[in-house]
Amino acid sequence: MKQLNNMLIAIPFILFVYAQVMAIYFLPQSLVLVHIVVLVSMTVFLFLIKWNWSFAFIVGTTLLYGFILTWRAFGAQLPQAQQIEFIVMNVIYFVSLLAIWYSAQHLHKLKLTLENEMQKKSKLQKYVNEQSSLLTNREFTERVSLSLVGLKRRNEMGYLMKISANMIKENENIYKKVLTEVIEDSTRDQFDFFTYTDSLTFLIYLQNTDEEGSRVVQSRVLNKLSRKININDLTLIFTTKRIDDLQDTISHFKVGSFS
Amino acid sequence: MKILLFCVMIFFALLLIYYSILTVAGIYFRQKKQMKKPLKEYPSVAILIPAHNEGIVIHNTLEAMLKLTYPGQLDVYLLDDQSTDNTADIGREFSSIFTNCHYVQVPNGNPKGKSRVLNYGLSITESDYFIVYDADNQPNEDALKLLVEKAVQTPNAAGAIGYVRTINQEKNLLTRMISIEFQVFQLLMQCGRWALFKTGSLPGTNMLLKRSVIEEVGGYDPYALAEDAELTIRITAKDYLLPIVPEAETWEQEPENLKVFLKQRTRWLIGNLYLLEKLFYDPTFWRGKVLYHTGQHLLTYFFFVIMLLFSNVWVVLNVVGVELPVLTQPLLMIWFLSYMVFSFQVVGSMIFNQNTSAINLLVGMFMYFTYSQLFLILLFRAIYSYSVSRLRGKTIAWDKTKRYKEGQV
Repeated sequence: MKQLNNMLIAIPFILFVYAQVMAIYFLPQSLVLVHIVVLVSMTVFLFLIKWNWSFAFIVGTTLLYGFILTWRAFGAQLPQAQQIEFIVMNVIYFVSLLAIWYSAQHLHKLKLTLENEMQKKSKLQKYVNEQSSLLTNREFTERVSLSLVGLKRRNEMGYLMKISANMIKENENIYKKVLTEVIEDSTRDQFDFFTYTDSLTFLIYLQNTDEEGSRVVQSRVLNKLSRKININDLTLIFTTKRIDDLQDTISHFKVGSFS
Repeated sequence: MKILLFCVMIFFALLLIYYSILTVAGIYFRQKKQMKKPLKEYPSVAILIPAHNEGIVIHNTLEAMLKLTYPGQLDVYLLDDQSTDNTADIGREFSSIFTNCHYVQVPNGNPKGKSRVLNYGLSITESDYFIVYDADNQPNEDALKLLVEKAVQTPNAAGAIGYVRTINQEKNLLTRMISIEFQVFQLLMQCGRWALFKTGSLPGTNMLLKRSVIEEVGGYDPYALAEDAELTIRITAKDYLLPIVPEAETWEQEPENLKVFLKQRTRWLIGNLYLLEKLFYDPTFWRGKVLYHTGQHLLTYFFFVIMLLFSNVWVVLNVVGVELPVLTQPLLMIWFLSYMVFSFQVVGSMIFNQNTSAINLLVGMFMYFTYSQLFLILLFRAIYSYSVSRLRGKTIAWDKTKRYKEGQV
């Protein structure tokens, strides 16, 4: 497969070479020089204009060239055999320019992909660190453990809230999306984190709060969720426990898949 | 004979120039960076999904609708037109769980079809805008938001039009060809027409409209089989704009076999024949952009097919050795340029949709000689059915396109 991909990258070069061989073989001697001049100047233009316009440039100039040749064929009343020569000229022009464009495009794409990946990376970093409170199980454990050390030092309390629901499997995905948005909306950006162990079980870590604070979060979640989901027909269970030891609390919640 | 050939050649050449300009304009529009500005306040939107026996696809569709990210008030209405399968069960279940999802049983009535169902949907909703999705659609999460932003920010816009992609493109050769056709003719050419003439055609799905505009034009025509094309004409006649948003994508199923394809496309063509007849008898439509739309319909459904027929007959006569006049007109070059324009459309659309692959390119090049020829059969089938129904004074019944079990996008 890798060899095949390497071959595909080489196709534009092969096409370019064949197009030039065709030009030398088919075109009259006087036109070969014109072909070279046109090709070189158009290639220069291709790289001078904004890259976004380059494909439109190839399409535009190839069609314009085609129309000029057609007009000449019409004016000179050329028979079909000579029209084929003109067609060959137009094809050679198009293939040559396209081959150059495609190779440059390939490099350009790689450059853009790299830039894009860099951007994505920094965005993700920002997303994980600052914006979203939704973490993976591992991140959740690490960040809660770290936070608990600080809490203990400051003599503050942390609570873990489990939200589990009973819903048919087909609707789990959409429920997960809705509840994620609701929890994001109902908790503090900087202090509280949450994760899910499966589509129907969420764990929220509430930092520096008490039972009253946990109840406020629970009622906020219920209130916001009821605007989107009919919670009367949904078995929704909230369990809250103060964290003394994280592993003990997680074991208490019986979320076995949690690592 | 020579005069006839000369006329054909001139017509061919003019068509070619028109489509070349349209192609370049389409490419220009797709390359231009669209400025996306978020709105301060988002208007309320109702999603209308007409459905008749859609049990096989409706779960995925509703799930995709509920996943749409939209900052304003959004309600989903499943308009069930007398389904006899499990569409109602699925719809009711969603409706009982999600507060913004509503299952609506549409009363039985005539004529059958999407237009009547949509009119009913409009009568029971009150949102500022509404968007229509076919029952097999799965829009991208940002599709609605993009459409609303464009509709609100374009002066005098009646709504906005998104792009319909093919979810089952990889299924077989036919679905791949349909997908390419949609990329070229529904998107690239639409973009070209919008860039040059500020005209847009409603695609029947993934189209957002302002309620006040649809009320002003009198709702959907229940007798129109191509209700999207018919509505486009009436909206355009009121001088409203229909901007294109290529980035607002939805995914839908296309016919997986020739029989279903021919049936679906014949219905579309019959709908367009109905529309052309309606336009012909109403002189109020003979002006401005509506006239352009009519011309576009005539070009696509008649002149293109006639030229195709002419070209095929000429080739066949040549092959079987019939003595034809010696040509000094550059017919061969014009034919070649037609093929070039077609190829540019195919390649261009693939580049912008980022689905360029060897197989797609090969199929695209091959389509000119195969898929395009099907339009000959389609036109004759449609003319025959339409003429027979007109002579017998019958209404042509709405026909639902077959659905297939598919995964999610």
